[in-house]
Amino acid sequence: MAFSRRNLFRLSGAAGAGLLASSPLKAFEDYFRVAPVKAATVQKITTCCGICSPACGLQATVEDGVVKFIEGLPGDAHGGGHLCGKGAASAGFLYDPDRLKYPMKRTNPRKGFDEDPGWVRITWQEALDTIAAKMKTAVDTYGTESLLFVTLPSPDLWARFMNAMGVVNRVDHRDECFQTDMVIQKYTTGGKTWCNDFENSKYILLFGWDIVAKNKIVYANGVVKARSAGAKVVHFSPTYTTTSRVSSEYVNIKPGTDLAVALAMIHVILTENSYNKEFVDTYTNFAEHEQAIRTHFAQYPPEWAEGVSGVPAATIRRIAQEFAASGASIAPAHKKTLCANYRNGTQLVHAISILNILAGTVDRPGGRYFPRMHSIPGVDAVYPPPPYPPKRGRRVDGQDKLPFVAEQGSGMFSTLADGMLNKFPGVIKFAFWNAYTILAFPNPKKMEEAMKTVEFTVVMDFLPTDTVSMADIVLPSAMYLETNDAVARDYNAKYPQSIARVAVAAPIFETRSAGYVAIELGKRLCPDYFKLADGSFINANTLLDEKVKRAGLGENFAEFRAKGIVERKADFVPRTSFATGHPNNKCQIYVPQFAAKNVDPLPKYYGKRDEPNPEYPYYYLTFIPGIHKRNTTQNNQVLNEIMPTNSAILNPVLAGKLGIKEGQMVRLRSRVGEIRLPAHLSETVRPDAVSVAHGFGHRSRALTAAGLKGVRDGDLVPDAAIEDFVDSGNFGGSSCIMDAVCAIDPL
Amino acid sequence: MPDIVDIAAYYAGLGQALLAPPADDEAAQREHVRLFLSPQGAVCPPWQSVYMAAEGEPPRLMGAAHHSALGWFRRHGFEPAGEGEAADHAGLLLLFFARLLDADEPRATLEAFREEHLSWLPRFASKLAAEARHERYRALGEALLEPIAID
Repeated sequence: MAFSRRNLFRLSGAAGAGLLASSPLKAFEDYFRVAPVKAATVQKITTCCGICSPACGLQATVEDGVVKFIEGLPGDAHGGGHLCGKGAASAGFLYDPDRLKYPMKRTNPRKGFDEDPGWVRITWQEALDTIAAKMKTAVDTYGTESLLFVTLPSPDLWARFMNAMGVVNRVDHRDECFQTDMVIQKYTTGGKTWCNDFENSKYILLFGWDIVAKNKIVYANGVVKARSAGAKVVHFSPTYTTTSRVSSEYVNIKPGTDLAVALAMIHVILTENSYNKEFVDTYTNFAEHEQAIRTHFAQYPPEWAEGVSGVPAATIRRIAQEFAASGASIAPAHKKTLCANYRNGTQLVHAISILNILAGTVDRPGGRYFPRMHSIPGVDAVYPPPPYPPKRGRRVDGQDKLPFVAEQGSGMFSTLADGMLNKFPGVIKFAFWNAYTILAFPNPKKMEEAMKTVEFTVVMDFLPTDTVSMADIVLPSAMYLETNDAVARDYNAKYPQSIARVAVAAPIFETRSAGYVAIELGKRLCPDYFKLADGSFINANTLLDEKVKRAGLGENFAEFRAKGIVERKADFVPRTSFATGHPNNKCQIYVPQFAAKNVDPLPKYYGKRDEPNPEYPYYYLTFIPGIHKRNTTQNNQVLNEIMPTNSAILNPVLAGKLGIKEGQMVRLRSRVGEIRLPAHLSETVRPDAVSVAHGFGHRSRALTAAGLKGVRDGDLVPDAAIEDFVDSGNFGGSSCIMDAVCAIDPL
Repeated sequence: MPDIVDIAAYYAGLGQALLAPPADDEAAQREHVRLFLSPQGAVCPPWQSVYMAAEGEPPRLMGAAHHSALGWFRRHGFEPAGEGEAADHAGLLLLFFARLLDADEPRATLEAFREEHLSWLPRFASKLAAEARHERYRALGEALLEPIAID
C-alpha cells in the first residue's frame, strides 16, 4: 500500500514541513552504511583498571562493543580478584550522558560561569589547526614561557610533545600528593617506591593516611591481612577513620603534629640503641654522621613531643620500642590525609623514612621495597628524538626556587595562582588543561581569576568540569576503557608482572587520547620529533607493538593482549645497594646533598602554617572519601548515590557548645573564604576541629549528578606564595592543602 | 506550505535536522550544540537510552535502547556510519524509520519499530519545544510532539 504511506496529511499546522528531506534515501545514506547481517556478540575481556595507579586486574563483559559489567580478575596479584567501588563503577564513567563527545569552540569571547560560550561543534582537524596556530603565535611573540600546561607528563608521547616545544611551565598536582616523598626518598633510600610489604609486616605505623578506606585495595588488603595474621597496626590521626577501626591502636593526635611524634620516636630508638644494627651499620651513612645525628635528635624527647602533639610521652616511647623490636616494621608515607600536606610535610616524610631505615626494612620483607618490574621502554627509547631544546623562561609557579622540587620536574598547584596574578602577570598567553579541574586547587576562586588572564585556553577532559567554562576550545578525552597500553605494575611487585590495558570499547563519539593530540600537534608544530627515519610519523599502535616486543611481553600488543598478564616469577633478593647519591650507595639518614643546598639535612621540627587563633579558633581538616577519587568521580551516578555531597563534620561536644544541631546549616570562615553547608555530628572528629570532604561543590551545571551539590573544601584553604616554602623548611614543596583553620557560625 | 507531504521525506527531514545544523547558519549551529551536545550541559540529550533507563538504573548512554536499535539496523543490513556513535540517537531512529517507510516494509514492522524506538519522542520533543530559542528547533520540537504516523 505504498500510495497511502507516501502521503501524509499534516495533523496540525506544518511545523516540520520546512525540514523535509529532498531525498529520504540520500539522507539515510549520509548516516548509515551497509553492513553484513550479524548477531550480537558477548565477550569477557581481561584488562586493568585505570582509575588509579595500581592497575588492578579486571574483566569487562562486553556486549556488541558496549561494556555491560565490570568485575575483578580472579587471582590477580594486585586487586586479588576484587575492585574498589570506583573501579567497579567504571562503566558509569564510560557511558555518562554528560561526557564530552565532540571538539567544540567558543563563539562568545566573554568568559565566566554566567556567560553562554556559544559553543559550536568543530572537527578535530579545525581544533588541532587552531590550537597549533595559537601556540605558534604565543611562542613566536612571547617565547615558550608563555605556554602553560596543566597536566601530568603522561602518556610519554604527550611528554615528548611538551619537551619538543620546550615547555617551561608544566604543572601538576603532585605538590598536593606524593611530591615530598619523591624528594625525600630519592636521597634517603634511592627513589620513591609504591611498594609496601604489609602482608609480611609485623608492625605497621600509620601517620594519618586512611589507607584502608582510601582503597587502593592492594594496600587495604595488605593491611587487613597483616592484622589478621597478628601484626600490630598503629594509627595516628586527628579523625577516627576506617583505618582507625582496623588498627590495633588508634592514637588521637593534634592536627599537623605527627612530625613531633616521629622525631621523638627516632630519639627513643637512638637513645636506646634499639635500631637494626646490622642494616644500619652496613647499609646506611649513620656511622659517618653519628655524632651530628645523635646530637640533633637529642633535642626531641617524647616529653617535648607530648607538649606539642598531645600524645602521652609514655605512649610515644612504647610505640617506638615496639616499632624497633618487631623485626619487620613499616611506616608508609603517601599523601593527602597524611600530614604530608601540612607545611611540615617534607620534614615529616624525612622522619618517616629514617624510621624505616632504623627498622632495617628498606627493601626487606615486611618493609617498603623497590618494585621488580619489566622494563617497558618509553617512546624516546624506541624512537630517540633529536636533542630537545633547552627550557628557557620563567616558572610562573616559582618551582625553580625549590631546587629539589625542580629536580622532580612536577610543579606547584599551590603557588600557580599567585605566580600568574602577582609575580608574573600576563606572562601566560596560552594554557592547555588536561584532566585537571579547578577544584584541585587550594583557594580555587583565585585560580579562576588567574585563568581569566590567559588569552587562549584549551581544556581536554572526559566530563564537562568547571574548567570547561573558561575554555576557548574543548577536546573530548577517551578514558581508560577505551585505550590500549602495556602497564608494568609497581604496587605489589616482588617479581615483574605486566598487564595489558585493553580498549574494551571503541572510543565513544569523537573522543581521543592525549597521545593522539600529541602526535597531531607534533606534526603541526615540531614534526622533526614525530617523524621517523622513513619520513612517516609515529604511529601509536606501532609504537605500542614495539614497546611490548622490547619488554619481552610478546611479539606485539595483540599477543600480549591475548596473554593478559605476563609474569616473571623470581625469588625476592633484597637490595644491597641504594642509589641515594652516597659514594658507596648507602641509605642516607643525614643527607649531605640537602646541607649543600642550605636545607635541613636532618628533619627538624616546624609547626603547621595556620594555627588556631581567636579569630579562627578551629582546625579545618579535609579528606578524600574512599568512595571517590579526588574531584573526578562525583558525577558517576552510582558513586554519587553512595556519597552525593559533603557536610561539616563536627564533634557533638563542639556542636553543643556552639548550639549546632544535626543537619543545621553552618558557615565556616577562614582567612581566604567561607562556605555554607549542613552540619553532621560525629564523634570521629576532635572537638577542636571540623572536617569537610574534598571533591564536591562542582559549579558546572552540566554535571547532572554532581553539579551544584555540596561545597568546595578548597575555598577555605589558603593558596601560597613560593617564599612561604623557602622560608619554612618546606623544600619538598608540600602544598599545605590541609593546613587551614576556621571559624564556625551556626546559621 | 504544503499540507500533504511525502511521509518518508518528512521523517527523514526531521531526523536529518536532529543530527546536524545547516552548515551556513552559525546561530543554528550554536543552538544545536546548546540543545544536544553542549560541553556545559546539553538541554535535551537526543539519545533514547538517557530517557529509558531500566527501573532503578541511572540514565546512561549506550543502554538497552542502543543495542536494540543496533539490532534493528543490522537485521536490515545497516550500521550507523559514524564510529563510536550511539545507535539510539533520535535522528538516526527517524532516518531508519523513513527508510522502513520508503522500502514499504510491512505495517507490523513499522508499528513494532515505532513502539520500541519512537514512543519516547514526545518526552524529548516537549523538552525541545520548551527549551528551543531558535525557530528551526522550536518547529522541530513541535513537529515531534505529533503522533508518529505510518500512513
